[in-house]
Amino acid sequence: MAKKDYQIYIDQRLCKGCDICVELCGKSVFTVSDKINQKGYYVPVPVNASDCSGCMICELICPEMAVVVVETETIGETA
Amino acid sequence: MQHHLLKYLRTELLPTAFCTGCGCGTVLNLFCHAIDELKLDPDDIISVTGIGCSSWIPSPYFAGDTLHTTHGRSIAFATGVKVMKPEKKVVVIAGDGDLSGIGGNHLIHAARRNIDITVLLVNNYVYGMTGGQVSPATPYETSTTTTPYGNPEHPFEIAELVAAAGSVYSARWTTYHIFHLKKAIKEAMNKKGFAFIEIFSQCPTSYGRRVGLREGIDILKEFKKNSVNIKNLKKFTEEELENKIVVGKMIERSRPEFVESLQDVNKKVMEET
Amino acid sequence: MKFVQGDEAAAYGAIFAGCNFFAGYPITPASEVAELMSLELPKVDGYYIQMEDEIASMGAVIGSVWAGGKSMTATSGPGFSLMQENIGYACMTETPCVVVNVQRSGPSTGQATKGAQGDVMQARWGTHGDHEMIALAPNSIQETFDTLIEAFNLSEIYRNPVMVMTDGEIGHIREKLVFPDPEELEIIPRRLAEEKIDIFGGERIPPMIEFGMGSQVHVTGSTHKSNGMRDVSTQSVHDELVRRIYEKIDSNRENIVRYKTEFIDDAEYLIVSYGASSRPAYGALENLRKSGLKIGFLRLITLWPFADRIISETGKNMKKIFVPEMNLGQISREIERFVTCKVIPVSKIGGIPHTISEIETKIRSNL
Repeated sequence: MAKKDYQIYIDQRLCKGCDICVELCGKSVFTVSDKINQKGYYVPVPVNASDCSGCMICELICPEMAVVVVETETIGETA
Repeated sequence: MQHHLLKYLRTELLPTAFCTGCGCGTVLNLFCHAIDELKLDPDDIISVTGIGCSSWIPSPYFAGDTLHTTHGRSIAFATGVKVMKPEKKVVVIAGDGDLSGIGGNHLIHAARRNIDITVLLVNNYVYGMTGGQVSPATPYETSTTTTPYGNPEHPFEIAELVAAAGSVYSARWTTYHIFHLKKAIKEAMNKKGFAFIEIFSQCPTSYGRRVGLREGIDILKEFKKNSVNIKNLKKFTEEELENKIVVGKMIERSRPEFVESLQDVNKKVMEET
Repeated sequence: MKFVQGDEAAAYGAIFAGCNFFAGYPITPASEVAELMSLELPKVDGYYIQMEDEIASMGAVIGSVWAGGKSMTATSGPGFSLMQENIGYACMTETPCVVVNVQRSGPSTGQATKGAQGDVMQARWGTHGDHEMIALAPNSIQETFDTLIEAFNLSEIYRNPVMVMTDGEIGHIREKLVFPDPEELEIIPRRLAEEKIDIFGGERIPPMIEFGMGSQVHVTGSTHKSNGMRDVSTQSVHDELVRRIYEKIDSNRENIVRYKTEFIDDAEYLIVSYGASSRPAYGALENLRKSGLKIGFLRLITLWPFADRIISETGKNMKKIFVPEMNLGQISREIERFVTCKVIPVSKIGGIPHTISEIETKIRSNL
C-alpha cells in the first residue's frame, strides 16, 4: 500500500508561536524556529513533513487556525 | 496557503486577540470544523455571547449574526432570539464565570425549559479577562489573584449540574480531546433541545502562570494526564478520582422542546378562537 | 368597550400595537399585565415567556427584537432595578422595546401593594453612562391603552427603549376602556434596511437589519463603529456613538414631548403633575379656580425627555409652581432647572394617594 504524503502549511500572519503543534505531533514533524517573524513570534517549521501521518492533530488543535495539513495528491484540486 | 475554514471567520480581524497558547482559539477552530462537517450554512447560525475572553470566540470572529450581550445574560438573550427565530441554530459560547457564576441561574433554567440552543461553556478555571480572579470553577485550594492563600471554595461540576437541571445533552471534554470535542459539538448542534458542553480550556496567562503552568501546552498536558473517561470510572477508586477531570457524555435523552411546546399552544389557541 | 384595570389596559394596548413577544417575571402591582399577555398573545401567534428573573426578562426581550419581535416586559420597582443594565444595553444597541413600570413604594421592597411615583429619576438615569430616555406617564385606563401604542411607535421611530411609567393606582383601578378600530390606529412599523448597510451610524437614526437575513449583523453593548464592530479604544468612535444616541432623542424633544395645559392664559400660579397624582391635583385645581384663584394646570404625559420648553415658557408668568407627586420631589426639582419662580413640591409618600383637599390646603397655605 502506498504511503500518503502530506504538505503542511503554517500561516505566517496567524501563528503566535505557542508551539502546541511542535509538542503534540507524534511524528516530530515540527521544529521550533530560531527565526523571529515580523510580528515577533517564533513560527514553527514543518521540517519533517515527510513523516506526517495525516492525523490532523496540529490542524485541529491550533488555536490560531494557522496550521493546514493537505494530502499531496489533492493539492492540485484544492489550491 | 491558508486554512480553508477561514471562510467562516471575519478574517479582517485576525489574528485573534487571544493570548499565545490560549484554548479559546482551539474551540473556535473545532467549532468551524464541526460546522463544516455538518454542512451548516453560517447564515443559519446565530451566536450569542456574554462577557469574557471565551465570549470573543464567536464575537467578533465567527462570521454570522452575533449578539454580544451583557455579562452572564447570553442565555437569556438567546432565549428571546430562539423563540422568534426557531428555524435558526442558536449557539451560546461563553466562559465559566459568565455562564456558571453571574449567569448560573439562566443556565439551569434554560436547561430546565429545554430550549433548543447549544451552549459551549469554556471553563478556564478563572475570570481570565479581568486578570485571573477565582471563579465558580476554580479548584479547591488553588491560588488566584483573589485567593492568594488558596481557594477556600469548591468548584461546580458544571456538566453534571446542567444534566441534573434537565438538559437533553451534556458532555465535558477538554481542548486536548480535539476529536471527541469536535464530535460532541456536532452532536450538540444536531440535538433538539438544550445541548451543553463544558470545555476545559487552557488559560496560560491568568491561570497557568500562577500555578506553574506557564505555557498553553503545559496545561494541555495536565488535561491529558488528569482526564478520566466517564466510561472508565469503575476502574478507579474514589481516592484515585480526586482532582481528576471526568470527560465524556454525562447525559443524552429526549424531552419535549420549549419553543415547540409554545408553538403547540398557539396552534391550539388559534384554532379555538 | 370593557371595564378593566390599568394593567389590563396596558396589555390590550400592547396587543393592539402589534406586540408579539413578552418576557416577564411576576411582581406586584404589575403581575396582571403578564397574566393578560399570557392569555392574549397565543391568540395572535405571539409568545409569552416567564423568565427566571427580571434580568433575564429584559435580556430575552432584547434578543427577541433582533430576531424580529415586537417586544415588551412589565415590572415594578425591584424588577425595574434589576432590568437597568440591560435597559442600558438596549440604549447602546438601539434596540426598540417597551418596558412598563407599574410603580410601587420604594426603596427596596417598600410597600409592595401600594402605588408610588418614586422611579421617575430611575427611568431617566437608572442605567449607567450617558444616554437619553423616553418615558411616558398615563393617568387613566384609556390613556394607558393609548400610551402603550404610542410607546411602541416611539420605540420604533427612535430605536430606543421606551418606559411606560404607570403606578399602582392607575395599574389597579378600573375604568372603562374603549377599543379603537384597529384599522384606524397608526402603527409605526420597524424601519428595516433593504440591503446590508451600517445599522449603527451613517444617519442619526439608522434602520435595522434583523438576524437571519444573511447580513452577519454584529450587535454589541461595547462601544462600536457604525458597522457594529467593537472599537473600545478610539475616543472619536465613542464620542460619535454616544452623542448620536443622545441627540437622536434630544434633538427631537418637540416631536416626542406631550402634555396637557388648562387655564394657563390668565394663571398666576401653576400646578404641574402627572400620572395618578394628577387626578386629585386636577380636583384641587377646580376648587381653587372656583374660589377665584388664577391657577393653571400642566399635566406631563411625557416625563422624559423633559418638557423643558413649555415649563420655562409658562413658568415665566407664574408666581409659584406647585408639584403634586407621590415622591419627595423628583419632578419638582427638575422643574426648578427651567424656571425662576418658586417651585413647591406637594409630596406624598406611604402608599395612599393625595386627596383633593390635601393638595388644596397645601397650595392655599403657600400662596
